[in-house]
Amino acid sequence: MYYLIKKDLLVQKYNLLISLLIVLTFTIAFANLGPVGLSLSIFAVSYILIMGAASQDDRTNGDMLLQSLPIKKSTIVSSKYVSVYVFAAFAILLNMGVIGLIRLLKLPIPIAPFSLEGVYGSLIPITLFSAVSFPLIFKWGYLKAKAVNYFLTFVFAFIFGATPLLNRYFQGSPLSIQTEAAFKAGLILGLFLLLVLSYILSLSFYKKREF
Amino acid sequence: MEKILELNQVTKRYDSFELNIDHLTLERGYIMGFIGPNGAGKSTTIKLIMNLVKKDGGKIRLFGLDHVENELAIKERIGFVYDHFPFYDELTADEMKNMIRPFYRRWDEDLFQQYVRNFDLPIKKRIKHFSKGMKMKLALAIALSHHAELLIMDEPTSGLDPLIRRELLEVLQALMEDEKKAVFFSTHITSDLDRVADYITMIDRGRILFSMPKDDLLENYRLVKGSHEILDKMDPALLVGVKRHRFGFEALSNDKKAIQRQLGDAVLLEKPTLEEVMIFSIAGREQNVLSH
Repeated sequence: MYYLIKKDLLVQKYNLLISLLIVLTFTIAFANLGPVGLSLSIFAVSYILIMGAASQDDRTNGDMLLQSLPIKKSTIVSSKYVSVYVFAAFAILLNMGVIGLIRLLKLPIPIAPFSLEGVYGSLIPITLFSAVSFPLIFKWGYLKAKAVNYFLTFVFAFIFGATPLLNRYFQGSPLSIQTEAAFKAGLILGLFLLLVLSYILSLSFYKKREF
Repeated sequence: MEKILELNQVTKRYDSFELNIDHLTLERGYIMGFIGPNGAGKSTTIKLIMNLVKKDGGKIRLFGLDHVENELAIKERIGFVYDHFPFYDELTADEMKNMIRPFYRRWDEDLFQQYVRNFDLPIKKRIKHFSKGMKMKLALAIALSHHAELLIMDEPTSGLDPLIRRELLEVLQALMEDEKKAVFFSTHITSDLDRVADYITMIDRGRILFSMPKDDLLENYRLVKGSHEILDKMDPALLVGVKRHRFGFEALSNDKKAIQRQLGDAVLLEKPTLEEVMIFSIAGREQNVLSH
């Protein structure tokens, strides 16, 4: 699995550079949004890397190569799910680095502070997005699933997914501490179950897919 | 000798194409040339063997094992070279090798480096800057560096210049010094097989037309040339395909002795090339289809 994830990073050297530009832009442009700006920055970089890896697989017939090697299909599928959080970790580190550097150099640029809330908040839309997108990509491939994925990105990540949940998360809750904790636990459990269901669907589609 | 590859009653249906392979086998120690025109079913057959497409029926066994139930164990023992080289072209050849290498338990790094030197491969160069010939050599180096017992090649010489094709054929000949190995080599460039193939299998419109030792084929098949009058007297069952022209006919027969018995010196007999066997066999099938 390690080698498949490493491959997903190596095939996107250009996207890794683009990620730096995105983080710089988001850090400055969304400074006034606070943790939400950080969440959006992490999400945007993760999104580009998730879709970039899928696009490379499709463009180079990489799936045909992987399917011809002695690799379990479950390893191929699960590595994609794990790579999502590797990309997210990369995006988090990049944000930390950019914010840290701007502060270190004392540049006169208004920036949002790095916060754990922003990090946690980004994982919600990233998980939602990959849980819905991957089964489509494993069924049809990146190109055929592209249009649906664009639509889903917009709907899930920014309307139904990220914005209300992030607002709910960051603006504080009028509910009691116990209810808040229950809400968070429910959210984590819900996302975990969604990921498990998504993985099962992806694996089932991938086993039936022809190349 | 153990059959390294065996297909029995294999079927695959698409909307506009159907593959039906009654029986096809390859033993260790031999190179089988798998010939046929474009769209005949060569790539589909290879994809079925590699389990890249799912068969609708029949049995496929490699090394005596079912190709689905023992997929990983089988793929460990197969080397593959596809015509479009499914490599990640943003990677260097070295990065590509490092990605593939951990999945093979019997990977031999020294052997790989030896092929890199022999093929003069620029290992630190990105694959997107490779020529088609270099991509083929990289694919071959990777395919041969894990001691594969069966090498499956789908149109590996398509679009390559004669020098690189010759180099590939020399590698295959050297590989066959180990009698435990076998090569299944699909191509529509039949001249590549004249030098290296032991067996020739021909497929057209999803069906195997023949599968036999190349020497038997070249011994028994003959190009028959003669006048229209002679053609009218001939037993059509002796002819695989016929072409008429202004001054006479040209035909392919798969029974040299019967033709000699029936017509003696009345016709001119010539040894056909594999390309002529392929062309006449396809023409013969077209004539049969038209006459139905």
